Amino acid sequence: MSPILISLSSFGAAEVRRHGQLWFLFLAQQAGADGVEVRGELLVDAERELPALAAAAQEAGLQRVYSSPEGLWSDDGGLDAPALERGLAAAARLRAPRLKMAIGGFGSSSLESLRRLRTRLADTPIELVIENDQTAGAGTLGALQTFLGEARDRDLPTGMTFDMGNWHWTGECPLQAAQALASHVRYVHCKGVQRQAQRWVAVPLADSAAPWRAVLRALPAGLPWAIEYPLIGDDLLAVTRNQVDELRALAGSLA
Amino acid sequence: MSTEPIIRIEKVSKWYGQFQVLTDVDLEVRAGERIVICGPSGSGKSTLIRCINHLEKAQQGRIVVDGIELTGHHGKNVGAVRREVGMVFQQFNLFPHLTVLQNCMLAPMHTRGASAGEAEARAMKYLQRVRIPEQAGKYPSQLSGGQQQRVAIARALCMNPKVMLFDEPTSALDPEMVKEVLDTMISLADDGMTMLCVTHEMGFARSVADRVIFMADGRILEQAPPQKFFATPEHPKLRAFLGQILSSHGQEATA
Repeated sequence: MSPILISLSSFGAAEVRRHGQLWFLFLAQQAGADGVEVRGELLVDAERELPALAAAAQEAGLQRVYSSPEGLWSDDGGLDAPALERGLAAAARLRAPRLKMAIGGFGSSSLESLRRLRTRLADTPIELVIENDQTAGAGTLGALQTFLGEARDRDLPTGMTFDMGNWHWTGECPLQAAQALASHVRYVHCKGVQRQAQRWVAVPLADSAAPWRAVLRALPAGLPWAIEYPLIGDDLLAVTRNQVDELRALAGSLA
Repeated sequence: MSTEPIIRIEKVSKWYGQFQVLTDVDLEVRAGERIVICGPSGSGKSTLIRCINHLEKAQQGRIVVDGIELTGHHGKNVGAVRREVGMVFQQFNLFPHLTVLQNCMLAPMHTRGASAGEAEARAMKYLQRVRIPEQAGKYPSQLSGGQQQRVAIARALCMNPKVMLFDEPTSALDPEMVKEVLDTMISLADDGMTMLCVTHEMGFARSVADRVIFMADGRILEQAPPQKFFATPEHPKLRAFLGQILSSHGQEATA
């Protein structure tokens, strides 16, 4: 059955910066989560925080994913090797087996660099999982299909982080994306969506306007799922525990 | 509603070194009036409300609060005004080494001479009012930003102020937590509290304010009831400001 993780950004950027990700890691543990996704953009002092998060997660038996806020390719289509190295180093410090990045400016001029990427990834035990983000360049079905197809043709060991909600930001159909990309998916961001005036907002799956059950059914069973929608409430532990329990029950019902 | 102003500001000017932050500002606030002050960063809006309780000294002009003259900078008058004027800050400013309850009891005991029993009863009354009595024994670091801000409001209310000043009370919060603080402020407004709020929450201004004031370059450039303020802004700087802020909030700009 799918392990249930929590992307620590779910607790709110200002809250996480105020309390630190370690504080929320303990909360996730108390709420019964199986793991956490540590967010690079929310680290205030990475040198100090990452080893502390690694030790705490290890002791608590929590799975870890490191999420880099950087794109893998620059706007000019060149492989951003320093960004990749920063992501791999941070994942290693976190002792996370999985690094999540977006493709950034990947395009036709980037194909040559896929060989370099394959060589670099062969040297690390860390699995790179590419996420569909909320941008036109790195979040549309076409962009992801192109990248993942080219990567597979070159035996690149990259999978996909499938964010259920982000497709709405780029005007794509999440179900169609799930059906088209299922074989690449290694990790799932569970995110419901609602439409407000001129914008999409992330909400729990139970409140979502999207066909989330069908999307999850279209994806391989047993993949790790991460909560990535706002977790708020005066009793935050109870709110979080409830959401973890709901996702776990859902995973059980789909298994 | 009384027509006698509870706050009278006449030709107030202030400089930070060579930089003039307030220029000949005139403002009268009637008891029970709800005023929202908005404007671009550096426009002087926070400085203006901080002059009302003498956290900033106006160097020219006259400020009278509830009949108490602040202009002469007499210490006794400053103390008297601060007992009548509560203030809520962007960064909450709670004492981190005191519990929520102790934070709320401190000022009534030290400046109003309340007994510990009276102060505790009053603190619990207002913690109930902001819907977090169950957090009374916790320290600020154990609370979310929204909860801390509600404690800050309760702490100010414990002094039974005649006027409440809010200096961007939601700008350090994640979007999902803004509502819980605004709801608390709306409830205060419904009870007839005189309020001056520096905020960019235009929905709050529309629904709660009697008057919305626009400041830029240290001057009040326009003020009007919300319907007129948003529907027919006159000053070009206000039209530009509204266009920018309403579009960034995902709303239709009426300017």
